[in-house]
Amino acid sequence: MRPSYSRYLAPQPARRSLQKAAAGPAKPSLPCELSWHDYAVFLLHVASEVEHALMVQYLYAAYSLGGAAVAGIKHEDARHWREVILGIAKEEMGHLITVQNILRLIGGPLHLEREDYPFRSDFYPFNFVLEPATKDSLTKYVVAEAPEDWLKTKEAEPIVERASKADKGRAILPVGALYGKLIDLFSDRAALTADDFRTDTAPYQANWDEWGRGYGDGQRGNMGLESPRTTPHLLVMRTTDRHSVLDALHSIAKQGEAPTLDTGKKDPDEKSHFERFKKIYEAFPDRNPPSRNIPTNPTTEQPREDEPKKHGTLACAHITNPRSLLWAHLFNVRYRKLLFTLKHAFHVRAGDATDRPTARGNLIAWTFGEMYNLRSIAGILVTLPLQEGGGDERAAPPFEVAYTLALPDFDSDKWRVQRDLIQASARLITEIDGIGIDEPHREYLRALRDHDRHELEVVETLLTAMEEQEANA
Amino acid sequence: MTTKARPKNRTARAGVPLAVQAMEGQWAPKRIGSAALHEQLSYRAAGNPPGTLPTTAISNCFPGLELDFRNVWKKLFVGIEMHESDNLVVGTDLDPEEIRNLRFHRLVKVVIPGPEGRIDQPLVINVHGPNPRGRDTNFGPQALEWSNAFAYLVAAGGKKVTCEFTREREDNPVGPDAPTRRMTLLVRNFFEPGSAVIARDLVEPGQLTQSLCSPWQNDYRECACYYWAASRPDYVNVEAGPQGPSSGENWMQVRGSGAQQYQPDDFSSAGLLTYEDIFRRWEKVLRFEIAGHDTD
Amino acid sequence: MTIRGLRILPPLAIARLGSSPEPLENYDVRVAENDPPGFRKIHGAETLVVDRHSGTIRRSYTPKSIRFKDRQGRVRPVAPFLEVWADVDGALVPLTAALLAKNKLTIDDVEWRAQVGNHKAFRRTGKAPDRIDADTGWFRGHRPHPLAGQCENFLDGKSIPFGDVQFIRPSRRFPEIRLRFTPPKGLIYGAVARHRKADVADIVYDSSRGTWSGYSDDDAVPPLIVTNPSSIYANTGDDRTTSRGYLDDECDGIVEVRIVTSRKKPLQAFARIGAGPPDFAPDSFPVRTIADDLEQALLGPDPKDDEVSSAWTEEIIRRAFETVRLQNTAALNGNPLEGGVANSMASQDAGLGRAEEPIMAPAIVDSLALQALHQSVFAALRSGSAPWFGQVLRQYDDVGDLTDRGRRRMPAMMRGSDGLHLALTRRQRNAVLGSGNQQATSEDARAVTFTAPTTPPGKETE
Repeated sequence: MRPSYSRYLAPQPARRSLQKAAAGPAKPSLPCELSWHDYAVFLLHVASEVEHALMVQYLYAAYSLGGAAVAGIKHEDARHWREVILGIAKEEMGHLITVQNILRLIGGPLHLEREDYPFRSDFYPFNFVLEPATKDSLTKYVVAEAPEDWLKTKEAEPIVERASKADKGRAILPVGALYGKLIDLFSDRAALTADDFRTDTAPYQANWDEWGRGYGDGQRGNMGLESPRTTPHLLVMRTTDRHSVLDALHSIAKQGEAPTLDTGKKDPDEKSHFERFKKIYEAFPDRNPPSRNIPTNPTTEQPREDEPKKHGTLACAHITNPRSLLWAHLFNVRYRKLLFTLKHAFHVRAGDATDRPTARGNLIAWTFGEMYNLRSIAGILVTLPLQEGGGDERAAPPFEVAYTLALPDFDSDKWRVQRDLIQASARLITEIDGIGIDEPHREYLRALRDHDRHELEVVETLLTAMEEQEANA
Repeated sequence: MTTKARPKNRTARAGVPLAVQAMEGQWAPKRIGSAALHEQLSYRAAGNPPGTLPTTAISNCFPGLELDFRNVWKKLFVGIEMHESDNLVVGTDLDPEEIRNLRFHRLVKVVIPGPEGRIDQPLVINVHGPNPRGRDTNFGPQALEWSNAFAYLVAAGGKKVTCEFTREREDNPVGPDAPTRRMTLLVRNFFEPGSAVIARDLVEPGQLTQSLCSPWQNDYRECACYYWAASRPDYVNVEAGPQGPSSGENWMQVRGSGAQQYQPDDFSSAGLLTYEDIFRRWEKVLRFEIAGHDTD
Repeated sequence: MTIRGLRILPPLAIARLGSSPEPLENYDVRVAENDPPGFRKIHGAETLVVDRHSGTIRRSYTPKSIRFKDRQGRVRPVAPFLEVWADVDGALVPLTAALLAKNKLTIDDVEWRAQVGNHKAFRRTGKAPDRIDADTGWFRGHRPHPLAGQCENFLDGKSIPFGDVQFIRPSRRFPEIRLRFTPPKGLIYGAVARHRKADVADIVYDSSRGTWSGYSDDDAVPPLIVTNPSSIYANTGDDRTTSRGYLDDECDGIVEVRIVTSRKKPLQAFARIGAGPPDFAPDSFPVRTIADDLEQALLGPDPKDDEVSSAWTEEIIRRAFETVRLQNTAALNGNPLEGGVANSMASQDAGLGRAEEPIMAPAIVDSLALQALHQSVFAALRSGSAPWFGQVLRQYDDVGDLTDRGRRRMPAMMRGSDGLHLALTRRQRNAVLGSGNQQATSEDARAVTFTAPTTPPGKETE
């Protein structure tokens, strides 16, 4: 964990159930270097990292499911589970965006960065590890998303124990604890005053209509505005005041763990992450899981002679096959482009229009595009060999974080970064195309390259226009 | 034998629809199975540009451009004639009397022998959505388009099926739950037996275009652009604009009239082509768009 | 080599109006290999040049580029050929002079007939004397046979030319039996009184005999017997529903071929033809076409497993963005524009009583942004990813769902045959859903043979 983070973390994070929080908040304790407002920003940054880390690990688990030897009904199961976990990962993305909305509301900087693994902290539910889905790994997800009252049941005991064993003996921390703490803090009118909420920012937050593209449930006749009382699949909620922040935090926590053991909902898609993971866990085979032969913690870093041997969740698998390595680099570039574009889309100046198409509309479309790209490239990577000498082990998406996601100060330079990323990507595409590869992948590369070329035209136009504007300012 | 140029490029990907391969010039058979009706339907004759194929003719017919395909369903049942766009019986045979009496009744449902048993195919839905106060509201019934509603009925050609008509003459639309009376009617074959041509007795000459605008030029002026942009374009000469969003012109805009700023299609706006322009000079003023840009 | 039957292919040929004496040349439309999401490319293809006088194909050539208007700015008509194919031993082959000879027949035994009509006025007035019909009668020989549209309610001696048909004289190089339909010019015809002289090519309609001029859909009984949409004819401008009595030369009908043999029944076949306006965006195609509807009628709404393919799904996506990129989607979304809200599905829905508001979030609907999104989906398809969007395709019976969710289904912002939001054919939708399943399966099949995941060193296992 980054020391800059650890020193603000209270030794014993409050673990409160949502019910208690609702009954009346207890005063959280304030780290000594921070103000209450600052502390809220800090906790939201932690929440961002947790959501981001969960999303990435779930995506990795989902991509791992499937494979030719997985026959018959098992095959169908694997496909179904993959879709369910991908759905959960998508929802974590929605949580991540909603947390950014809250940051914007209270005037904090946005936070889409993520510590590169491996790391851990008292708020992180378990040690970060990219690993294929196994019954063991699933126990961690079940417990991390579990509601507190379930954790006390008899049913929970063996699962909690198994999860802890899978995380090197460390107790898994349910995500709900962090949201419990946030709810306490935002409920406390003495800690966060009316002055801390910037009610003018609502138009500059991500909203469900734009980011959910309106395809979720719970959207009936609500005049095109997001309806905070409902819980759509992809939870992207705008916040306008203390009340709507609490609503959003409750909803996120609810979508994760479901506050009670109420299983009245019949639609499986409406179930909480906890319930969905538990169902997969229960059906998941103990031996021979229907997952691909992909490694733990793949990396594009190349092995060094003097490298100390790491174990367990710290171990990394080097992608040494040259072709797979290029695809893995391409994956990292597109991953960075996804995060940067998402952040760029959030960047608006006061007075910018949000009621008509602007450059932001393009950025939102491109962010979606990158989500498809990550899935496509991951789908290709898991069929390519991991190592240079061949072997059965396959490569996998490394999700390595870029050196920075910071937005340059000048607007033109933000577009310059977009151009850099397209160019970096284009070089990799050309290099892969030069190796001589299977036809279906070449088709994808061409389609991607041409998509980028169309995008670059827009980027260049904006870059030039912004430069001119800045020169005349 | 035909001297039609053999395409050199035969790299069509597997599974590419025949109609597309025909358009690409990748598929020009010299022999077609006499039972291979899909091939016959998709065939592009030597010398014919793609615009001759039904693959290029729009079928969201409200009312359509080349043909109003909805008319093909009017006489699907022997004895009655339906409205092309409504479940209203507009004409009947004179005999028997119970058929004659169906005039201006509405066909609410048909019972179709489907692949997995009987299908009760409703032909009417309710239109609903939020009213100006945001409350979900029923805006009234609407007949489904025949082509999709009758998708399974076509296979019953030559057989009798059960139809449910309103009990009374209904000049106005009725909902899916309107009280009905059952009758058995014979379904015509959609295609001439053993061929891929629309059956002779289904539509007579003049009937596939009868409900189009007269003259069609009038509709090019009046219909806005949410129908058929791939045939009657809306937004052309589009470039990335300096603020991010695109900039371009309305296809109906008078060219060379100033800034390239899209003007919404509205037949009363200045700067757009007028009725007279299109009646008198349509060949001149309507542009062909290649790669999204004026080419002539 | 006995001819058992005849067919005319294609079974439905579309002609397109234009006044140029030079028909449009032939071309292919192909996806550019080096720019798959870009516009399709138009390549010249073998063009048959007919000598109008003799009816022979004088020569064939492949044009370097295609011009849709001639030098004088006149639109070049699309004049389709219709070929006769013979059923010989269970297979269709092109009927040629040689094949006729083998069956002891000659070119002169081949007879043709074409009948077309324009019933637009009749469809409104309901009066049979308003039908305009043309019939060549059975003919032999190779001169062009004009299709003169006759109508009881026309002035004496007047008719509307609907183009002509010509039996192409087979030659050694082009031995096939074929007919060419050359469509009319795209002219407007008027009625006595109410017309504006400069609008019309000729005054043909006798307003003292017929009611077409001055007709109004408002007077129809029962009111809903009118066309939908209603009042689509040139009007006098007073109330926007009084007909100016204009007619056009669009038409549709059938062409028939007949060969009288020694057998009891002559060999006979027919095909359908229609003449409509030009396709003004010839490198872009609509997302739902008459071919899709005919295919559904022919093959049913449920494609078989071996019929669905990612290429078909890709074609549907490609057509969706071919439409999107020619639409100002911000305007059609119902975004407020400087001149108010554009006529769009959003404004149509408001006409039904729905709250008037944009369909999608206004900020994300720029044409280029939506194009980028479609292109990403398209690229993902090419990577072998299963298409997820099957679930967001509108179902044919969900067209009345005007909630946000319902209106945002695909295809969005377009109007269907019933005036509500467009749905694909059920067969198209099922094809996308089916290829999703198939894709997911084949993607897995490509993956490596399963072995247990390697346990990283030091990691505990149970």
